[in-house]
Amino acid sequence: MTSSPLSSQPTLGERIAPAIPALSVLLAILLLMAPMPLAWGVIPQIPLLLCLVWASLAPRLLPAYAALLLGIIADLVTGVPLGINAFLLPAAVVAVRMAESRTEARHLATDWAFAASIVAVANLLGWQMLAFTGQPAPLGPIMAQAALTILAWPLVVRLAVRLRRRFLEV
Amino acid sequence: MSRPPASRGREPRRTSFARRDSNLALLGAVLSGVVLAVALFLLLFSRINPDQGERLRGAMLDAVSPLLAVTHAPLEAIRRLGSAIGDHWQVVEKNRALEANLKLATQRANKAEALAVEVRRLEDLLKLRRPERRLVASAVVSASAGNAGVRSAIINAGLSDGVKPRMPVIAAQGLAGRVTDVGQHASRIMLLTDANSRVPVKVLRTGWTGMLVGTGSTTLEFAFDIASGIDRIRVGDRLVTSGDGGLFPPNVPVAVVTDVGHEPPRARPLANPTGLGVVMVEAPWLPPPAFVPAPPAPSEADVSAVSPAPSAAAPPATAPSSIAAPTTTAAPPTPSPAARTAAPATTRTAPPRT
Repeated sequence: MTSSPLSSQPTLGERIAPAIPALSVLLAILLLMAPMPLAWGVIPQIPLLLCLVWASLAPRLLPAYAALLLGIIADLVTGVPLGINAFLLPAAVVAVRMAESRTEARHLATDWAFAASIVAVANLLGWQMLAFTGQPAPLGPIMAQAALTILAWPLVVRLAVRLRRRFLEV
Repeated sequence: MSRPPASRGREPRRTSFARRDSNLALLGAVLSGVVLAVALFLLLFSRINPDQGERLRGAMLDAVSPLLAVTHAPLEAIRRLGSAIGDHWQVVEKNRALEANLKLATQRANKAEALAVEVRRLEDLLKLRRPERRLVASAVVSASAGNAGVRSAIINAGLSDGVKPRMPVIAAQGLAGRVTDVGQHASRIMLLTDANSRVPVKVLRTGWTGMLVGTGSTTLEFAFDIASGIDRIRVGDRLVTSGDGGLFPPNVPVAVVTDVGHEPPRARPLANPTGLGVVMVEAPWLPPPAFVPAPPAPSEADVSAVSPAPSAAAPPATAPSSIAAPTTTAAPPTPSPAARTAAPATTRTAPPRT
């Protein structure tokens, strides 16, 4: 995209810059599979949060179809029925974009509340979809995961902002 | 309206830009709709055919497994270091306790050896044939999903090692789960804690059988016949596989009861789902019998008059539809008490026809 005036050759960082949002989501999907000793056995859904954050920070770099592909990968890697993450990730991206086109003022608290509502709705939808595809799961652990995910939102925003500063704003 | 934009002077270009923008917005909306529709179609297909994309899943497992093995190594090292430091501080007390335990265990082992010889002798007298357990592959668990909806792990053995779906997976401490998806060099296993996991078990101390049900959290529920007496299951009772259903070999340790206050008692898996380490993949203990096609059904009048309908536990696939209907109306007594007790747990073995 933007090459520095001193060297004509773009560096590696500049070359992969447009793919940073998608790559970060992909890494988060793999991180979900790392065997971590956790009390509740759940990790916050960082892929979903990253999709939400990138949809507002760099909307052009994470279009809905990219979120669809990432969702399909997430479904295949974690072993949930195909279509659940494949629906939830692009739906979250579209929801963020629709909300941003309608509102002007932005504030940390309102953003967090909006993200929390999307996470809660996505988890409830995912719970219903698991039952729909014949693998019903109890609601308790899923909601615990949703709560952890909501708590992790500021950290993910900070990570995404740092990534944007490092790779996308040269 | 708010203030007009700075470039107000060029009227025709602004409108063309505006038109292009609105067209792009419309295109974007249509594209998003298409994307969401595709995702919903995928979901619908996975309801209709849960096995869809089996090859794709396998290929994805093959691609991801080496990456995860890399992330697995440092985490495993940290876990081992932690337990090693813990061990170091309690070495003397542990040694004494172990020596006492060893003395007790040697006595018991001698007794058990004598009993085993006697059991073998009696089995020979009865001409009992015990199916053998067969090891298919050993593998390392490289990943486990921290996902609340689905509890799964990835092992680094696949089709090329002879691993097939539904095979039982056993870790060093106890049962780990069963294989669900298979790639060429990696496969996914459903852990005991998955909400869809059901393992037929028995209480080692009393021999009561029941079903160990995953809950999606870290504990399991021990669902069993209430007539067995709930007040007599104690905290610390060990649950081992019963061999019902024919998938898991019998007497593999599975879980230990931790809480009898709840209505189904709670149990904790003996093999920690996040630190499984090395596991064995075994062939299904009693593979499902190859059913011979049923002979053509006689006319209906004969059936209701003469033949006692097959037992209720017989799989519907073997019963022709013409004799399945009278089963409910005639309601014959269940042929044998053995078939009745086996009915809730038996999913894959047919009871003997009478």
